[in-house]
Amino acid sequence: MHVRPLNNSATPRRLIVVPAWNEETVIGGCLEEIRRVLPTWDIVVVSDGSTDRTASIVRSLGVPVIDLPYNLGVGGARRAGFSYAVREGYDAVLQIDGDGQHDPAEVVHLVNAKSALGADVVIGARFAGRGDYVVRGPRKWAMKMLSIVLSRECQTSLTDVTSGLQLCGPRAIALYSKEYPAEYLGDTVEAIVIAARNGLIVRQAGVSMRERVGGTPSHSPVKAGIFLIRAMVALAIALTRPTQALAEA
Amino acid sequence: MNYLLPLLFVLATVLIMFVLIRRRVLKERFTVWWAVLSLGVVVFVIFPPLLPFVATNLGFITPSNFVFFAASLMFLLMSVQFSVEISRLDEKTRTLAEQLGILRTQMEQHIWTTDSHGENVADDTGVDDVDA
Repeated sequence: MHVRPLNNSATPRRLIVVPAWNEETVIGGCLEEIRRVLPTWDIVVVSDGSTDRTASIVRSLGVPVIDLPYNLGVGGARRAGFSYAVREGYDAVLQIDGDGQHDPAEVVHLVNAKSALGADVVIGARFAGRGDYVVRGPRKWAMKMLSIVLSRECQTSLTDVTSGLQLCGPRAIALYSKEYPAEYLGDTVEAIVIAARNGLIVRQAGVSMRERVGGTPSHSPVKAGIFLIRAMVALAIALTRPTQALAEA
Repeated sequence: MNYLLPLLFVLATVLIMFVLIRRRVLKERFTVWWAVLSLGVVVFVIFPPLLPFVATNLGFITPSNFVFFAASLMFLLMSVQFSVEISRLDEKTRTLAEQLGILRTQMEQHIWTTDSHGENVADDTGVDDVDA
C-alpha cells in the first residue's frame, strides 16, 4: 500500500515534473532511471494529450500521471505541473524532459547551485563549461541573442535559455502556477522574463546533456530560421508586455 | 421609393438579432456591431443627402466607395474582436484541461492509496495495461 507521508517532517517535499508527449518508447526507461538516481523525489508525468500508451505505461509503473485531455503544448504541460505542485504543497519542482535527453545524475548540479546562489530558478545549461553540445547557423544566432538579452534582464550570465531542465523554488512555483506562458518559446524565454520582472533570482548551472533517445532534433536551416524569427517575436512580446501586479501567493 | 430596401434590411437585421438573443444562441455583446450597422443605415436612409455629403467631405469621389470602405472597416474590427474572444476562450479551455487533468490525477492517487488490495483500479481509461 502506498501512503503519501504527511508533510510534518523537516524534509522538504520535492517534485519532478516530466512533460511527455507520445514518448511510449522512452518514458519507461526514463522514469526508472530518475527513480534510481533521485529516490527522494516524488515524480509526476504530464502526458500532454498523448495518443499512444505513454499514460498507461506511466500508471503501470505506479507513477502519478496528469493525463491532459488534449495537447496543450510544452508550456501548458509545465504549467499543469506547477499547478499540481501548488495543490500538493511541494517546496521544489524540477522540470525534466521525458525524452531521455536530460541525465538525472546532472540534477545534483542544479540543487547545489540553487542553495549556493540562493536562486529561485536554476536553469540546467548546456553551454556553461560542461558537455559538448554544438549548434550552428541561425539557431546559434537565435540562442546567442536570447542569451544576451535575458542575461541582462536577469543580471547574470545565462548561456542556454531554451533548456527544459529547470529547478524552481517555492516563490517560482507560486508565480508559475498562475502565470506561465503557453505560447511557443514562451515556456522558456518569456517565463524567464516573468520571473526576473517579479524579482525572482534566476541562475544557471552547467550540465551535460545526451542525444535524444527517441526522435531526431531538427537541423534544417529553414526550421532554424523560423526558430530565430519566432524567438525574436517571443522576446519582443515578453520584454514589452506590461508587468502585471502579482497578488502575493 | 429607394428607402424601402435598406429599411427592410435594417428591420430584418434587428429582427434576426432579437430572435437569436431570445433563443440564447447569441450573446448580446456580439450584437453591438449589428446594432451600430443598423443604426447607421437608418440614419443614411432617413437623410438621403447625408451620404454624398459625408463621402465628399471625407475625400471619396463616389459615395458607394465610402459605403464599401465603412463596411470593410467594420468587418475588420469585428474579426479583431473575434480573435480576442477566441484567444480568451483558448485560455479558458486550457485552464480547464489542466485542472481536469490534475483532478483526475488526485482521484487516481486517492483510489490507489485507499484501495486495500493495491489493485490498479484507478485506470478508467479503458487501456489495457499490466497491474504493477
